[in-house]
Amino acid sequence: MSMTHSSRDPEDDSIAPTVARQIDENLKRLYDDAAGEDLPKGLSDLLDALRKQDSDDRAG
Amino acid sequence: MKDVIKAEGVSDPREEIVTHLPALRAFARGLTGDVSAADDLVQDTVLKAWSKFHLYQPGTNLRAWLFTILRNSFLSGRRKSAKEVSDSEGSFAAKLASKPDHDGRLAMQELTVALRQLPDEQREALLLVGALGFSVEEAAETCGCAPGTIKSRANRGRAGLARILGLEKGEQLDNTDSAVASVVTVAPDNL
Repeated sequence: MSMTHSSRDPEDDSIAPTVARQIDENLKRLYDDAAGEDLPKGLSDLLDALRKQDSDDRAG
Repeated sequence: MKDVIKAEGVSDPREEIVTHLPALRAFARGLTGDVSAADDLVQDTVLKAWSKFHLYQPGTNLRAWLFTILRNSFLSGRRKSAKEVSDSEGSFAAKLASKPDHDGRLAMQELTVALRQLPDEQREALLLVGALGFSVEEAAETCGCAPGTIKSRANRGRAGLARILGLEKGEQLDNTDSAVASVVTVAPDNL
């Protein structure tokens, strides 16, 4: 087992471009999963209810 | 579809909102760290947006407008509760970890937990620019700040994640004993 040992300045915001890119790529991967899911029924039902309300308002 | 197009090139935001819901859910999960709380936040956002559509200017950036509503709702909720969501190993991470075919799931859980440790302003900038592909300018519009502020916050967020996950400045990760290794060695083709 080999570990990298931290010698970073806690206030230093600069990181290697490759690390920054890899962080972004993995964040995309993480949230692509969420974005790829079907909408939950509660949300679909809410949209249907709001549209019906609009439709009723226009008709009424 | 005839009702969707209200004017040439301008769609009805009541219809267009559906196309933004997946990204809104992803952003909400990133902010809250919790699947259920995120969906509640998105529902609240939809309700607020629907009641304010008369204030939306057609042709302007609907995505940024919706994300701003969600962000403000989240921050308002945080102020009301006046406490951090302590779901550091929350249901979102657990959900990811439960996927049997999810490569590097433990690493992703570590990433999710690390993200939760960042300040809100850094996390939201990193989520918008890093995860959801917003331009710096669009993220700045969403957060009501200058583009330079978004850049700075996102950079500080990345540095914070690198620090938390033990990634060294300018070094290749040499840590075969940790799932973190798979976080930083995922090939783009696998994303």
